[in-house]
Amino acid sequence: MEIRLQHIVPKPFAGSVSEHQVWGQDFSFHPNHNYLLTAPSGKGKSTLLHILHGSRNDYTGTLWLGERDSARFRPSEWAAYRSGKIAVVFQDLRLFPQLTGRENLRIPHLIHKNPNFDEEQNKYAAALGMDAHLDKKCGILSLGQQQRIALIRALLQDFSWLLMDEPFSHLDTANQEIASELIHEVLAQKKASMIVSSLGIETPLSFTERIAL
Amino acid sequence: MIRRLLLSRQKPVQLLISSIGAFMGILLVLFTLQTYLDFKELMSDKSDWLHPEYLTINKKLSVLSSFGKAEGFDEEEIEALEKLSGVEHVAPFRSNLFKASGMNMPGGGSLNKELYAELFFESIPDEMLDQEKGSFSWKPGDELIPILIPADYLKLYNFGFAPSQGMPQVSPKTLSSIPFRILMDSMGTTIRKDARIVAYSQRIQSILVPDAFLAYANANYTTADPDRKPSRLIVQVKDPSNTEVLRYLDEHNYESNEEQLRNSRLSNVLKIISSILAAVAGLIIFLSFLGFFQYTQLVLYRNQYEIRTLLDLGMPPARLFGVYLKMISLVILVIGTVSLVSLFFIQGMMQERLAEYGLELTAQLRPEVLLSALIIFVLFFVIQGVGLRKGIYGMMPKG
Repeated sequence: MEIRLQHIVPKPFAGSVSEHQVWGQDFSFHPNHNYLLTAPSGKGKSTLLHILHGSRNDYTGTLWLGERDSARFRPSEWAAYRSGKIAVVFQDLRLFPQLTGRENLRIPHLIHKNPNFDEEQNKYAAALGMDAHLDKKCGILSLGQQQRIALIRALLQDFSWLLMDEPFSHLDTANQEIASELIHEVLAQKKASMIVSSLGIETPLSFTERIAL
Repeated sequence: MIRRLLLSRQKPVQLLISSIGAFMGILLVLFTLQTYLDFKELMSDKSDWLHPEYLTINKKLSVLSSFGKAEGFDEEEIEALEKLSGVEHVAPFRSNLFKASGMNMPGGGSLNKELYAELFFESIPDEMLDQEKGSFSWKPGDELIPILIPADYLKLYNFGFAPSQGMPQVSPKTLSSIPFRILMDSMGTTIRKDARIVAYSQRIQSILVPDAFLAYANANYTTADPDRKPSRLIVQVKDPSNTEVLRYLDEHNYESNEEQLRNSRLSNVLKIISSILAAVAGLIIFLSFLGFFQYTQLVLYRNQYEIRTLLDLGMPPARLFGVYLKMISLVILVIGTVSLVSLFFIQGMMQERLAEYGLELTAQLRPEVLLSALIIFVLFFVIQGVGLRKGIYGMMPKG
């Protein structure tokens, strides 16, 4: 599924986006390409990911998701898009602190059944060293552990695009390596692509396109 | 798990308070309605003491008319009355057109003083009488004329006339056993007939004889026109609290007997009280709905993070909506059951207490009440549903 931003300008950036690589342009994210968005804070990395996710609509222009103008999406279509076409690791993670890691991971499965759920969950949790922490409430896990739960939750759902907003900000280099390897493996398996934002810190993930916002 | 997430930040105490508010509002509305309908039925019940469905009416006498003859009702006026909605039947009073007097029979029972009085008679069609016809009938050739007098006349005699004249008080039964003689002037000759008081009427303030007798007597004892315009009418109305009829009477300067007016005033008071109660109940139900509405909105607000996050992860909003709708249905079911059961018990208590006063109430909840309850619950459900839907879908991207 191609994602096309047709002359999109977020309202906060209105009037200050001439000669920009994405804002105000006819820009597409093509399948089979992996994108890194780099920029200092406040240049709209998160804004772009939120627009792609549908959680922000304070912009002008048209967002095309595949063949569809997203402005014409009904609520149920947004739900289907979010549970089947994109997976997101939010910067603020959006976990349920009152639920255990295992319960948090189960939520995408409750929304949309994944036949290989148990197998994949065990595999990803073991790879990221989280299997011993799955039965703890997320609220008491460290930020790095929470980040890994959020990543596993994203990988456990169906998607053709994986959107990650500074996904490794709380991971040490060893864990970043493992996570990168797992992400690439899942992307390959799902024939999916990713769009990742970063403050400019290098990650072990490999990209085909780099966009400086 | 989803339900746990969505309802996790509820405060049971607030739910309880909101529910009690809604319960009281609903109970009051339904109780008012049930009571209003009960009393309405009591007032139109044929066998009841509140039963004022007969009005006797006459034209008001003015200073001028009192010198002449009282005006009678003509055909058109009677027809106009009959056409009024709420009027079932109109019948004229027939009066005697000959001179009549009555006296007690010499040596008749306990009344050994001789009494004599000029008399008048009236009659109304048999079907408008409030007594079982029984002994109150006459056919040509019968010697005894049954008489029906107002129950008040006997009271007047017993408590007014008798003590002042040193006469004995008599019970209705005693009086009925005393024979009278009636003297009627028939073109110069005096016709004598025996008469007996057979019944007492609460409703008709007149001395009544069977219609058949008066028709016969008017035709045979006098040459006066038997079709003289009647000066009094008896009107059967469907609903004594129907002010339309009373207003019509007023507008046309007709007078009606006081008792009926009193009853209709009573029913008007009842109407006013129930309207006030209904208004208060309406207000309470509105406030309780509002309170409940705010409660559910607060639940949405408290669980905003959970709802948003589930939506972000692709949970269909309809599914979240369903969880809350289920909760609301459950709450309404509980409130509904509790209020209907309470109402049923209250009705049972009312029925018991009022039975002591001879008022027969139904122990059942009326279909109108059940229907209103259903409407209230559906309305409650719809209002809550709309509010919840708006709250949840409001967190989705706007398409």
